[in-house]
Amino acid sequence: MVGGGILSRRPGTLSGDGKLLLCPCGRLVHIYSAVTGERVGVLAGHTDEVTGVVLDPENDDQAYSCGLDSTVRLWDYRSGEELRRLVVRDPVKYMVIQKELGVAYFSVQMREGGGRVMLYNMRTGKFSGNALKTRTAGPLALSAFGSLAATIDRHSLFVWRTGTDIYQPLNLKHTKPYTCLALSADDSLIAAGDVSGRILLWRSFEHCVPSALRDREAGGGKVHAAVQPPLTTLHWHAHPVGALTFSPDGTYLLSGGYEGVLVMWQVESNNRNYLPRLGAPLVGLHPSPADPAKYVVRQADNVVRVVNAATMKVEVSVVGLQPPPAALLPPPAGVAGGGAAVLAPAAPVGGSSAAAATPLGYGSGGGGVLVLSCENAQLQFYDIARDRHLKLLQVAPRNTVSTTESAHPGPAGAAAGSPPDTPLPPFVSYLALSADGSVMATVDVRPDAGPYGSTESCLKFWDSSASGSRSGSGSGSGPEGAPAPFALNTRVDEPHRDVVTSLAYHPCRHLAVTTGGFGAESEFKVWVQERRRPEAAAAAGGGGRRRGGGAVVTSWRCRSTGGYKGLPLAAAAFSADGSVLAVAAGARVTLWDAESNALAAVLPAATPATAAAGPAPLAQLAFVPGTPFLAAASPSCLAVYNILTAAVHWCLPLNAMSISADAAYGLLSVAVPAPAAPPPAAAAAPPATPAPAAAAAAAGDDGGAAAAAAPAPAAPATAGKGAARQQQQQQQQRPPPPPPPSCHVVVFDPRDATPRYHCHVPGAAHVHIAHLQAPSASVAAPAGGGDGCSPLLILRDNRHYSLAALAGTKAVLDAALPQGPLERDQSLSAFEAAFGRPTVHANGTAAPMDVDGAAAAMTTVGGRPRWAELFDAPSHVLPPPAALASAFLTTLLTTSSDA
Amino acid sequence: MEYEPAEYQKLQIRQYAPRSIRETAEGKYWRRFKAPIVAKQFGAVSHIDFCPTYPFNLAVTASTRVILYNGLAPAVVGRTISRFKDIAYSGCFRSDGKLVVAGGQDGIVQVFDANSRSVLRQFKAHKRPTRVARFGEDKLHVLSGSDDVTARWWDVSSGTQVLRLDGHRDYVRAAAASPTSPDTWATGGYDHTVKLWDVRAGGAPVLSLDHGAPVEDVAFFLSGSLAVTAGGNYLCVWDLLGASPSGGSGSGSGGRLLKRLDNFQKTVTCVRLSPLAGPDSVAAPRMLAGSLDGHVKIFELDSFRVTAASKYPSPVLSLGLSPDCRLLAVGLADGSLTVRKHARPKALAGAPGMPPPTKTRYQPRLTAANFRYFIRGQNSKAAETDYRVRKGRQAKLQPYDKMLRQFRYRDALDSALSSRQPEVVASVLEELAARGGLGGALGGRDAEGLRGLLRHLVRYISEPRYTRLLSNVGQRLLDVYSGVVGSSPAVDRLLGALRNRLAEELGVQDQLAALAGALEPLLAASLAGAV
Repeated sequence: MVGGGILSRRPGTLSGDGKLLLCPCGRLVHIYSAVTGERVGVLAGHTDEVTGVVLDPENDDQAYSCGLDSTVRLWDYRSGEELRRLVVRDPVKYMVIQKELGVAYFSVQMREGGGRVMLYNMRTGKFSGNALKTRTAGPLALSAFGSLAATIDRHSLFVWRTGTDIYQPLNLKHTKPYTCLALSADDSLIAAGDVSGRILLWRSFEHCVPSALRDREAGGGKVHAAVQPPLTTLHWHAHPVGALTFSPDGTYLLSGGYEGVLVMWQVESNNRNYLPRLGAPLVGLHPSPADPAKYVVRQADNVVRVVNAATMKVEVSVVGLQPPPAALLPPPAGVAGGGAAVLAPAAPVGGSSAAAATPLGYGSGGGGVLVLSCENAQLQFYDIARDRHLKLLQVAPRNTVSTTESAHPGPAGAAAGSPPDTPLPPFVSYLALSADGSVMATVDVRPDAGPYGSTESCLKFWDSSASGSRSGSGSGSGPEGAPAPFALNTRVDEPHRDVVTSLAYHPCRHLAVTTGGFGAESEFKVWVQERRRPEAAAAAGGGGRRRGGGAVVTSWRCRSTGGYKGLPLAAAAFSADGSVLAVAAGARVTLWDAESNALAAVLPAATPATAAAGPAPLAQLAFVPGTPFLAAASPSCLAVYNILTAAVHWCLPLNAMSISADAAYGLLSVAVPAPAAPPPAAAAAPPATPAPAAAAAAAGDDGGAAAAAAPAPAAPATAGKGAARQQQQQQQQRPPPPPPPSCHVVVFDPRDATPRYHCHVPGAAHVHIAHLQAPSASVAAPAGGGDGCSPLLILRDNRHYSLAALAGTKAVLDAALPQGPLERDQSLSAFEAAFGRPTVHANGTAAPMDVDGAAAAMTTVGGRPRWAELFDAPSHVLPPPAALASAFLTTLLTTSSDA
Repeated sequence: MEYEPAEYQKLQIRQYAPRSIRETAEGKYWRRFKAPIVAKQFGAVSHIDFCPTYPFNLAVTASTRVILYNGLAPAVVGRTISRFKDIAYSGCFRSDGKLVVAGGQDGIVQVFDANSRSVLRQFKAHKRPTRVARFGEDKLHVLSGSDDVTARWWDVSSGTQVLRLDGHRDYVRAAAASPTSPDTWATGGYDHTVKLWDVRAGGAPVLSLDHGAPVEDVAFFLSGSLAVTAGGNYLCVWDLLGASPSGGSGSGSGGRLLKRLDNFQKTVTCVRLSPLAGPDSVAAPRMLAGSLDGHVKIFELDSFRVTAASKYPSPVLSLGLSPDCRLLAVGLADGSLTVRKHARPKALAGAPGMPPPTKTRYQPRLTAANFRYFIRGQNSKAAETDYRVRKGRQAKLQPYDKMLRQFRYRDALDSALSSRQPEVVASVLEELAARGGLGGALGGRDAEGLRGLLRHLVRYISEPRYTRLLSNVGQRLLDVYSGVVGSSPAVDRLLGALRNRLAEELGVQDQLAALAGALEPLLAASLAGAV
């Protein structure tokens, strides 16, 4: 099972009635409700990335999608059925459809390089002979009136009259590259944005566009426009303009860019109105076909919002898996410490402890909540089982601010090329959750702010607010308006002198360990939770926050500090029972008694020191539960120690990006980057391992299957499963001139160095892995005895995740991930508060898209007609009757035909 | 915590660990004696007395005059009684506030009218300076103590001496009347003794207590069974009724030393008791004492611990606390009188002379003739059953928040500086650094704009919690403005001050490092010895 993916990169659209939102996401088109933001359906069929969805102008209930698999498909998106398929020779990047003439324009990325704008006649089913040749496939624009179409190609803006052919486009040149364009509905205005933030606006240019028909008398030669149309320049954006669109009546121009501000220009007067602080650069703006006030706004942080431009309010936000903060992208700029470990999704909570039914207070299902660090010091809580965003938590409350004039990030949106004095926004570098999910510890970092600046970090402890003791100060804006899952308990500024390099939480007690410091002042600190009665707290005046009257006040304090010979400490881990604390000191591992702070043992470096430099310092540590083994990873070596003998058990020269221990089966999973050598599988196999793993790797590699787990001694058992999932994978770039980076995930039995299972993750330079622990499996399977493996979560650097499991372990997977519908708290809407809750159907609720016999039968049995839910809202929020009428009639027709 | 799009989030002001021990309610109460009025007198302020009746005037004795200040307006110099040929001592009100008695260097005890300042009586029997004179509770007698080692009991109406109290063998410098028995007096002298007298019994002391040092002041507790004596650098609390362990040096029983308070470095010159002082939550009598070391300390009377203390710039000779605890007056040896005012005086309902509480103003019936008729009910609360329409609340933004929202970084820094809260400045600077706007906020300033920033640097750069941030800011500031140093004398002066401050701090650091180096072998040796 896979999930995540980027919703907002490609243009989506609202459905004809404005109630559904269609977003391309990888090879799928996700359908969301534009009222609640819930996902209600999916269109699957494309074999490569979908690049756009447009409504069929003839029929509102159908939509075309184009993809990099060189096909254009027509869908009935209410039933999820593919109606027609059109094969184009080359990957289609953009498309528009002209209604009257029945033609479609495709912007096509040629395989041999360069782009074309092709004209396809939908009535005759033929391509036009001529095509507009461009350097890259650019976005297309078509006026609603339908007489003009336009595209951009670097410094050129081509406008032509629609017709049966593309003939003699007008070229509007500009000194700076264009980024986006828009045509007004009545053909009178054309706007284009450039990389310097200017918006160029041409008025009354229509007479300059040559006629669509070939002028036979003139001899067919190219006629250049004698006069360029008058040009107006609007300049507000300081960064490249990301998106432009006209309001349907042509009165307003909406623009957005890197600043994250939606700007609404009144075209006549150039007056501006703003919707600021949307949180991320805007990459797309699309008007709604149903409601002229609504717009779809796509943002670079994987959020798609529906904005009402009349009230300048965000109505719905659809949040995907958020991209990682720029400062965490490898190489970790300015942030010392383990580069791999700071990509810090916590292990899915609740799985290891059967008692915790609702660790985060979400729904009935316990496990499978992923906590991710994202941009601007936020944490995202994501339900991986349902592939659904739960909540954002702002760890360091601050506004999103785009950097000042010095930064000009490329169109990719990455801050890689930013000058050194533009600071990166703060981010959460480490986080840890207690075993019962009641306490979260985070380390957030404000990176170096220019000359004489200094990195500042802050350790925070959060209490779960699942008990509801805290009346939320900010009402939730999440999908269901739930309160923030955690409330701040204690804040520690500068827990260590320089940087914090790791954070570990005790598995059974409320105790946390941080390591950090610089040079000889490296140290680890043990933080303990203090519980006091409120009156004692009031008398002592500590920093504890009162949580309800009479309740025990908890706060955190540093109990002890320790260090080992001034060596840099870079990682810490607790054993499964919490009795041993392992701290990596340089290349050695020190074992401590967490209670008494006594140094128990020092494990030697796994590799001897080379002549030039000492052994590489360890970056990660993980105890393998149920076994006496401790895994330690450094950039050059993966070592497994035996705690009983205090010696190296085995060691392999692997660059482990991420390691994870499987508590149920006593296994160790390691993610390693695939080397760039041509036979990737052979090189991936560690020297100690013989061929079978390599063969399995090669078998699982074809077609870009992301997760194909294959037992090393046996045949690749999950090939069929991998193929089934294959369709849902995000593609890698089709012709890879340099082979794209990929990763291998190898599962070891720590008792010997032989890999047990292996899977290949293509198209990811960096992955983070974590084992999901099913409560039943942890009880059933004896440690290391059974032949199997817990499901493994593989999170890639592009925030696409997949779950790898052995064949035949679907039951285990299901046990680990509750698949049932999420329980939503039944909050009363204003309508229900006024008129009472409507009677529920006899057998619960029917899905809105569910048009089957049962639903039809219910119209007579339950006494509540299907169309009633159309009007199940106060009158002032109902869509206009014109829009409602068609949907109303549709439901009536469907019901009668089904009945 | 939850992030909402399109809503400005206020700047989080950084919170630091509490700097000192938690402030007690008691300390807060005594610190609320604010806004000192300093009145310079012609000589050392030797005695302060508050009138027990409203408006609690105070008589201040300094040099050759007694000045009566109005208790409601202590800043205004009141009536001055200057009918003294030499230094005046111990100006005291009668309990109704109508008469004032004072001793003098020439030994004459004079009774004045508090209003007209005319001399009503003169008692001329003391041969030596009379340092202490007090009215009796019956308003008809005066007790005076003199350096001729006697105390005398005078009748005011006839102007004659009633009794001569012999027994002291050195100067009599203190006297106090018992609050419960109008005929019982305590006098203290430089012969280290405090003697209790019953003026009905005649000229022999009832009880004699050995303080151990020349007695400067004596005061009865409110119950009348305890007394406190001040002398030397300590205070003694005596139980007058309890049995003396040594059998007593004088006639009669009692006189047990309850407690000796060694809280002062130099001679304790004055001691007062107040029945009401202290915060309302722990209302109990308090004892105030002032000393030549410049400290005024406040004791609670259960275990006689110091609950608050304040330091004055020169030796404290006298102090007084008004009966409603509104004014705290302290007289100093350098001739200045400090009067501090508390914002919330105690309500003395039954105090004599108190004006009756003001009646509530007549509220006319609201009609449409009054404009308030049209705005009536705006403050009324909604009932439980009413449906409340939630009003969109406008977030109140601080000036720096407004500037930050408009990306006016320099103005944001200026408004943070003008708030005079260093933690606000630190938070704004950190936010500017995180936004990459520090260069813009620091640059482009003229001399006037630089001064506030430099003043802040000079003041706070050596505080450990701000040092790291402000030294970085200072470095950037010097980088930006190093080319124009010398063009503005004011800025140059501040830069010089900054340099001096840093040099001073570095010197302190050097000394501390040297001290740590000196301590290290000692600690190591002691640890080795312990092991």
